[in-house]
Amino acid sequence: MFQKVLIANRGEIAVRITKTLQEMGIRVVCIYSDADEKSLHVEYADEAYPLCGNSPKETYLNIEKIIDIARGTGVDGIHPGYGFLSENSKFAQACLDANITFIGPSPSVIKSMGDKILAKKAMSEVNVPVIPGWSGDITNIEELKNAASKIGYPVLIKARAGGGGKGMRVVQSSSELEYAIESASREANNAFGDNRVFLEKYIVNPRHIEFQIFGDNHGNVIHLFERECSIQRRHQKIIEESPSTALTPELRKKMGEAAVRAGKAIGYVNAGTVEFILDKDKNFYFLEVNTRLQVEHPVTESIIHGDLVKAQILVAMGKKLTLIQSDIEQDGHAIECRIYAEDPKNNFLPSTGVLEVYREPNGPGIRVDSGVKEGSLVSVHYDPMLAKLITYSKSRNAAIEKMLWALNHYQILGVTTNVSFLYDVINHSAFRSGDLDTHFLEKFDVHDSVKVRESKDLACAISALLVNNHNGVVKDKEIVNGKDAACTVSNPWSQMGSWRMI
Amino acid sequence: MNKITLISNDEEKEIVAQIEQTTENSFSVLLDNDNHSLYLNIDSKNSGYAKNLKTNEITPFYYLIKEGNIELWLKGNIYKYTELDTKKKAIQNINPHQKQDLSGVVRAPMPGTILKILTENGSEVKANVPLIVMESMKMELTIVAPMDGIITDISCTNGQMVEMNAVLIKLEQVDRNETTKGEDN
Repeated sequence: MFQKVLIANRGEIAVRITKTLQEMGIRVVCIYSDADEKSLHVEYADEAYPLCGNSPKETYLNIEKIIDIARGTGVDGIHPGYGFLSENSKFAQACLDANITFIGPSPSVIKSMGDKILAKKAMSEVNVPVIPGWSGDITNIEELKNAASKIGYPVLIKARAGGGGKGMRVVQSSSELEYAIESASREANNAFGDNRVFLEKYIVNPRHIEFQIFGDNHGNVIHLFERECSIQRRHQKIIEESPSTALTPELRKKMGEAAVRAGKAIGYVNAGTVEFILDKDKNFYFLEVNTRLQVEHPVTESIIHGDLVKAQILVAMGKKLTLIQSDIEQDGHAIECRIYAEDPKNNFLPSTGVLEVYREPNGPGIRVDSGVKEGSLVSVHYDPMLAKLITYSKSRNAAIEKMLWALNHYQILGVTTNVSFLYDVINHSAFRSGDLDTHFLEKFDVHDSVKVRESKDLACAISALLVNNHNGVVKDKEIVNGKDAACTVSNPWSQMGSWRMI
Repeated sequence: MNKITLISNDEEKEIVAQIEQTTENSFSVLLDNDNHSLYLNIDSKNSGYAKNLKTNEITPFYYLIKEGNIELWLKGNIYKYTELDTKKKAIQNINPHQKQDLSGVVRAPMPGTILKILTENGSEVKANVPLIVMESMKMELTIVAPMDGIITDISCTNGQMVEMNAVLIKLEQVDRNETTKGEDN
């Protein structure tokens, strides 16, 4: 049994992992950047150590600093969370070298799956369908252009070390190719420290379906059913659910078997995700293997009634998986919404500031995995995801109704978020009917379906009163300070003093 | 009688509210001939409730007031208004994109780091040509020219951290000698 584990991450996932570790009686060591000193994951940890600095390179991506802290505090294991170093084989290797268990797959598996081209090759060898593509020398523009037209536009540029939509570009014609390649490889370099990109046939309007897999050190690999993550903006998922409305029991079986075959072929150990895309004719293609816990893992936890982090810890300690495939059932329906500090009306640009008001919804079947609390500062340094809201119920419709209720009771002021936008998407007739693909948000202008703002006039009246009151209080202060005696005449409220609190 | 003029940030519409205090904490608010009689109770911090004095219906709310901007959470919606006095300042804050279209000033739409400057002083550029690549929260954003013009000033450098709305580049229209320079910062 582990005594102490370090979480090499921040935000909601660090908090979520902490909860399970502490529940299992394991002490939690967390690390934090300067900007994160007062953050929630520090508050939850049993021990917290500074990384000094703010940029990811100085902090959560700094292998040396993290291993030093791990050594110094005498931890048995390191959980990498998702993002940051979670899919960095050098980090996994550095843990092993320091005699600390890396809670995840082996460095060699991470490395082979991290290289998207090697991963595709490994998959086609075990008859998992892959998308046609090209991976030559991108600095040779002529060759690049030839390859792209051979594949046929539109083509997709992807980062060889990629994931999370970073370093990804859709290119419609050869004139855009050069600039797109340059910008994609720069973004890839910033995100992964690797600027290599490759081309792939762009599958139009696919659905994104992924399978959660789990392997142990005893040769067992199982799958824990699918998650549909078709609702995306900028190639990044914002809504995930399970089961998918696109899969028949036969197709589910077929894809699940392919996922397990993929896992077994590479000797997969611990939690992983095999991502597929599904085209209009229900052909599925391998996309990538994510060799870590996914952001959307709570969706799976809900429908299988399990704790994936707990299973990760047990497997990392060498335990055998206790479940066999035929034991696992998909029960009920779960939906997850990612709550982002971003402005859907302004191109989803990240927004920053202090969460002056922050109240999470709660109730039966509602789960919020969050990394913030009221008063938290949302800074420019890291990913703008604040929290994940998950609802679970017997049927998809019931989970949708629950999600709408929960979004309606999520109170956030001070930072612009996508809460109302998520409401509009979930409430959209196309979403309700399960008619999803990765271009959902481009096809439907969900802003048009904005829920009936029946309280608009009331909101306006209350706002006017609040502004009026606020002005009165400000004026009062000025009078007290003797700064502006003349305004006593201009504002009748100022004579009343501030309002009485009841 | 007190008059408050608010601009709805969603619709960019002006709303005039005429407020009359009836008794302590009770008010009559007249909006476009739509009269609201409300009792208002404000809790210690950022929250309160309004009671409709005709129907007795109570509506809880959360609010935030900062520099003439109000954010209100009411029944699952967030409403944002700006008081008219501060409108001039607010326009720059609300929608930097629209502002960019009106003048030759290109501002940072978000706080972040300048990754690459794709143009230089004196260059003639077409509308929508990429000028600057910046990054915030690991997301890359390309800032394009708002109109055809000549670059007259580049106020940022590679690797620089910039605040939201910081002036990055100025350009002048090609076919006009005079440009609108309504900026005071």
